[in-house]
Amino acid sequence: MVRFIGSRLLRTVITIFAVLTFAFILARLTGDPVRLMLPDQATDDQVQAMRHTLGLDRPIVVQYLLFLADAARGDLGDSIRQGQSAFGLVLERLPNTLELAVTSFVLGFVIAVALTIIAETTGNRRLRSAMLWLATIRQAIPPYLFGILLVLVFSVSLGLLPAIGRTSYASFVLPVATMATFEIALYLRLLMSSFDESRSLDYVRTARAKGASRARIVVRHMLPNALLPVITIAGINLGVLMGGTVVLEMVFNWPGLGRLIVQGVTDRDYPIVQAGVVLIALLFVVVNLVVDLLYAVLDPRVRLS
Amino acid sequence: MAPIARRLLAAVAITGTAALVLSGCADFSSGGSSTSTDSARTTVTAALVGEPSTLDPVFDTNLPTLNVFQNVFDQLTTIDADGAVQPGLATKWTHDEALTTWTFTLRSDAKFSDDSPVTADDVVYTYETAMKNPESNLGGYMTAIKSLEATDDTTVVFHLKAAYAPFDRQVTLVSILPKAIYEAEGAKAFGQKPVGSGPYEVVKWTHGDSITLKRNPDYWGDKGKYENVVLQFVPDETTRANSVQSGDIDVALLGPASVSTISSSDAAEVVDTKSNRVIYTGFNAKAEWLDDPDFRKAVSLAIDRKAISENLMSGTTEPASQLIASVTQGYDASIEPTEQDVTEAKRLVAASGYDGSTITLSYPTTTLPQIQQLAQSVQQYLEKVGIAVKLDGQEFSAFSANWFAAKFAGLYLYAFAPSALDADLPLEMLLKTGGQGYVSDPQIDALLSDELAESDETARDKDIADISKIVAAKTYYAPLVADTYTYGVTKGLDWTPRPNGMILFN
Amino acid sequence: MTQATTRLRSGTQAKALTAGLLGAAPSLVVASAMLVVVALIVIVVPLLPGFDAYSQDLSTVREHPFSDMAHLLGTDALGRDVLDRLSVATRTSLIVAFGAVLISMTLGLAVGLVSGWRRGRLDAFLMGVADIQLSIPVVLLLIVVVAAVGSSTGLLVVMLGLTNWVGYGRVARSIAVSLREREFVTAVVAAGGSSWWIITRHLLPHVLPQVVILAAFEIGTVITIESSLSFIGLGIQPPTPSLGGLIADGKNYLQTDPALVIVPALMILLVIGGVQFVSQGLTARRARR
Repeated sequence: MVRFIGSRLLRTVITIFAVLTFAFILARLTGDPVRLMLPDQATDDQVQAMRHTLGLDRPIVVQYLLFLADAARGDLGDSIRQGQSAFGLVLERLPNTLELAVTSFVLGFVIAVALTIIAETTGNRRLRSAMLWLATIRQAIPPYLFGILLVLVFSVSLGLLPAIGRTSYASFVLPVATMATFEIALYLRLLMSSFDESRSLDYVRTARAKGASRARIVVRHMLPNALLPVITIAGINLGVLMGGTVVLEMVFNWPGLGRLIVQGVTDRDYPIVQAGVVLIALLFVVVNLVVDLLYAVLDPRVRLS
Repeated sequence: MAPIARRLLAAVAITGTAALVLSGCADFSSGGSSTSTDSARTTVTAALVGEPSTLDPVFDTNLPTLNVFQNVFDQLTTIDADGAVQPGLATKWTHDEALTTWTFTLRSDAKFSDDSPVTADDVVYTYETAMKNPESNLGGYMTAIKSLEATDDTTVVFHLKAAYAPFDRQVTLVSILPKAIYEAEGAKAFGQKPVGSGPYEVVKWTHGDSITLKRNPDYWGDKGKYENVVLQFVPDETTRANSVQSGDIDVALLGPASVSTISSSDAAEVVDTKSNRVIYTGFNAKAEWLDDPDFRKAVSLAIDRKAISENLMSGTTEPASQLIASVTQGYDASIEPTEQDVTEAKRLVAASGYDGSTITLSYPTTTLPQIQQLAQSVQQYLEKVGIAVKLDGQEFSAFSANWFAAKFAGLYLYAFAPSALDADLPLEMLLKTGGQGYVSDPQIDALLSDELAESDETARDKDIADISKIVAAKTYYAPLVADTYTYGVTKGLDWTPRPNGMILFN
Repeated sequence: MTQATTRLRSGTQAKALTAGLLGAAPSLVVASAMLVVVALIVIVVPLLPGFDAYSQDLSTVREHPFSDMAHLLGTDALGRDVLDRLSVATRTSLIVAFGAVLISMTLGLAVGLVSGWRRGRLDAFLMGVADIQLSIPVVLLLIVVVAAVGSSTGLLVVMLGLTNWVGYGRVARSIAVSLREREFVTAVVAAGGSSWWIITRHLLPHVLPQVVILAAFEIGTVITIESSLSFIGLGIQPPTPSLGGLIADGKNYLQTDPALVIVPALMILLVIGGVQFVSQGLTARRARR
């Protein structure tokens, strides 16, 4: 057990280190911020002086080591544009993005499971086929376009829901609907074929032979087995979802992390880009680590693997 | 199988709890949704196209930020809806014959929102703070100033390095800080929740979303029309157009593409005004072929400005004849926009000996109306007269850095919109030897110094008109279209647009 | 990294996963018809007389579909023919999508097979790299790189290709791991077969079908990402049209001239839906045999 936890922790530390390195390189790619920081009429001397203050005139390796040293102390620098702690600014926006991502994820997953159970227990092939067609079609509509269409129908034409911002619970409806439908489509398709696989499994046949009710077989026997491969995808997908909100945040003018990072890119505010990328990666890593450790506690078999 | 279910539960529980803890459970900004459309409306929401980096006037001088400042602070003078200079904090101002000493007399009834009076000391402090700090963007507007002093509580005297005729316009851009509060709080804290003496005061700044203002009941001048003003940051054009139709926003700048949609909308109407913005084609006049005035002339002649204005821009622009717009001081109505003349353009291209080598056309991919389409349109017009053009769309920050450093390879598209509504700034930057342009013309340089030292407005306008004529004759630039600021506004809302693009509510 | 993301242990699980992307199988005929329409527009439209995706005419902007026989699907904001642009845009998007998927598939296969065959430290290292790759959001990565370097079709293909390989890698690896101990493989090892020989001749044929199913799904993902980038203004730059670019150009006219968005959106639907339905149908048919 200790060895298992130890090796997981080590891997996590290595991943974080790699992510920091990557964030550093990525941020340097955005280009020289100094000209954008200084007023238009700044002289070359002032530019040089500012470079020096920021440490940008040092060799890149020295900059990198200093960055790592600061990062180890939890300091990812100050935003160039806003002059405040970059990590603080990024953290301030995180909840807004998490709200969207997590709500959509949970809703999408739960609805997909429910729909699959309905389709399986009723055994209606038409219903099942219709669901899959809809799922494929939904996946073929880019999220931003789906979002704009929802806005045109529910905000512009019907005037029912807010088109932008994060001002009330009502303003969650459209962005969450956009993203959750995408999640439903994804999980619906994964679950349904996962069910196809398990239908022919021995214990399911046995249960059927014993005369167990269809609903019981689906929920008690098939569902747990079908969930296994889907959860694997879900763990990865949650991370993808965090990055995927960027475009939606723009459509719905949502004050989230993604828009802040994109703004950071446009402003050449490299500390914001750095902090943002590191935070999202950290989140991904930590959630997966905690899930793993918990799982290890719950299921002794894992320790052996 | 149970562990799988448990594992799933654990994952959901962890992320869910984390989200809730971090978000502190839904805490909403007070912005947005103003559904009442009657006369008793107390809250109005307007869209800003960008978010300020700080609300400290010393540092941020971008247009959206300036817009906040114009609501929250006072300036010595202001510009009215017709583009004329009007008294602000200063009731009157005089200058000496040489235009180097300017004396502003302040009103005595202006107060910051903490009730302390606005004095000449505050004015001097504001200017000196910006001038002393090399990182101050505001300082950029003050390069003409040598020194200033408060001769008594209500008089400020500026000593300029050289004559500067539009100085009374230039000071409209400088928001006056409360010295005591600014010193006590420091720039960083002040920049989050500033205190000014304007018609509104800042209540709250929700990062990434909006700034909420409330009316300053003690304002000396035209008081705010609404109890609350929400300035929401909405960079995307489609989003702005949609949210003005849905009623989430009451005033939003539109792009040409949205105009017909809004004008047929039940909820909103189109309100527009001539703007200070001119979109132009610039030349690296040192590059091959473009160093030939006849070749540049051919470029200008190739473009059909009328078709662009009417069809591409949906009538929101009109053909431009010079680098400044009709609302800007120094505009000369007698200069005509260049008419398209394909035959003449082809002749000039042939006469120049042009060998068909590709010329780069750089442009910013965002920020200007229909810019991607405009660039493709210009490319096509030039190809029709035999000039091979390669498009080079640059991300806005990269583009503007290249503009400042005068580093374009060939042609470029950009715009100038002087907030002070005076010709001097754009002409100095675009035409003066060593400026952001690629121009070095002794005649223009001489006229530029004349114009600045000319205290008679008519004579000064003539100098500026002469410059515009030289620009047209030598095609240093090919002005394309003069823009209109077109807004979608909630029906029945009492609001007047300004030629400098400021959204004001008093 | 973690258990949650490296659970794929057995070949059956990997198969379940890729099968998951298939779902039910609609009629192969319908699906093929969708792809035929795509093919017609990409291949046949350019052969029609008067084909021109670039010529502008500001006197005939935003004509509605079927109102002018010279422009069957109407014209865009610059008076260019929508059908002709659709043809070129679809070609561009398909090149990007297939190019990127080919790169990620090759990379994923190489990493996955080597990893699964060799196991040990190399396996741990490669899967560690995969975890790191996963923790960096692809869309953000693309935004940063494109904003810094500028956008070009080549760059997009390579970037999209290099960032989407983990899925293929995982699937390939898990199948390779499960095949390692099988008799036909151990027999080759005993007979002195080289690793290269085993991987290319014995593992690859088993892995390929599963990976191709995943690829059919990924075509859709890549087209969506490319069009999202266009939406932000960082996609393929004009004058080259792409499906995402057409939608981005048309989105401001959605209420007055909806065809400008609907036409390319339908095309995306045909491409993504068609590819997936065909892949679903073929697999279902194979399964029935």
